[in-house]
Amino acid sequence: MSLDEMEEAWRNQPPTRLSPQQVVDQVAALKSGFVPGITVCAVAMLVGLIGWGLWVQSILIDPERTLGAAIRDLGVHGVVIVGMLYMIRQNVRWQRELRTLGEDTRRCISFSISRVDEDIRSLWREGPLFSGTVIIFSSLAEWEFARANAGSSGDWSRIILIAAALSLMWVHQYYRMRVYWVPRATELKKLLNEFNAET
Amino acid sequence: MTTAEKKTLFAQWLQEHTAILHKVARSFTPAVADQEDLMQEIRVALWHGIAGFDHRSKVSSYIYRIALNKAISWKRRAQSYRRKIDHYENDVVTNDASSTQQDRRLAIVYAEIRRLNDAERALILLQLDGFNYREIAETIGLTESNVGVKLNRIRTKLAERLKGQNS
Repeated sequence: MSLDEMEEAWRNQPPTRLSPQQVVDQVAALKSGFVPGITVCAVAMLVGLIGWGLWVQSILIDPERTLGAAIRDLGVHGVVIVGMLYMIRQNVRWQRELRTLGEDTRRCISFSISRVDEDIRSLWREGPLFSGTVIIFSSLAEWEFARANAGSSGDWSRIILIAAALSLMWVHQYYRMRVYWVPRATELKKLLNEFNAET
Repeated sequence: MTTAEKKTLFAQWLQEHTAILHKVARSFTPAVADQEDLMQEIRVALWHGIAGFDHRSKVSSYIYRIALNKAISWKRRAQSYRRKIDHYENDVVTNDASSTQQDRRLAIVYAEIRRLNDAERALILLQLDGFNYREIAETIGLTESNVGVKLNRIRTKLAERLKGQNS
């Protein structure tokens, strides 16, 4: 086959046109994909916010709450807040990614690279910071509980469990980084080099 | 832009330019199910991209831009899955009696386009669809002279590969 034949075959592709009904169906399919997702997110946020508010209120009005319990609760609330901040950040990033799709391809690839690099950096920076903070708070709470109840050695198995769970999460993320993020970053950088290569 | 206006414009874009989605999807993946998946993702991206259209370029060029950018990121994400289905790629070039010569030629053209790397694929797709160097340069983010030289190389490569193909 020659290049001319290739171009001819390309030009003679059967025209893909949608009927008005197909257009309506596709628009509807798009909307049906958004609405449940947005509704579930909104309801989850609302329920979470109400539950969190009630919990904070119960802490504030309980005069018998010990310092250890207060620290532990603070830790739990911290995790909730971090979780919500994480969701918000992901949402902002998603919106930014969508906007970048309208940019030229080179810029879009640069953005994807920076996003993957950011994921890799956060594995080493934010992951340990978050895990460390949770473990320190939990240990402080346990220590305070043991101190308040003289003679009790405290239930450290919970702390070990939390540390093990956080370590497992980190290992999972590390695995994803090795098999997914790093090859993706490498490939995107190679692609960007292809575009950047001077002729 | 109100939601109703956005919906009308989106329907109009789909009606007039859906072929771009098909071409990009088929150029990035041979499996029909994957093409559908990719086209759906492009449609979602287009819906969100409507607000960002500034009328400085042609609608078709803007749609191509979004479709190519989405396809490149989609390919990365679906790559592990794609490896499992790659061996089906040759199935697309059928030689049965029911397929016309045009079908077979087109299948070969798409198979060869899929063999190119993403950068080359984006450039040749735009050229095959009649965009000039300036429009291609704007869509990809290159200089016009760079586009010209790259396209010459891609066409030479394609010519070499197509030489051995019997349609």
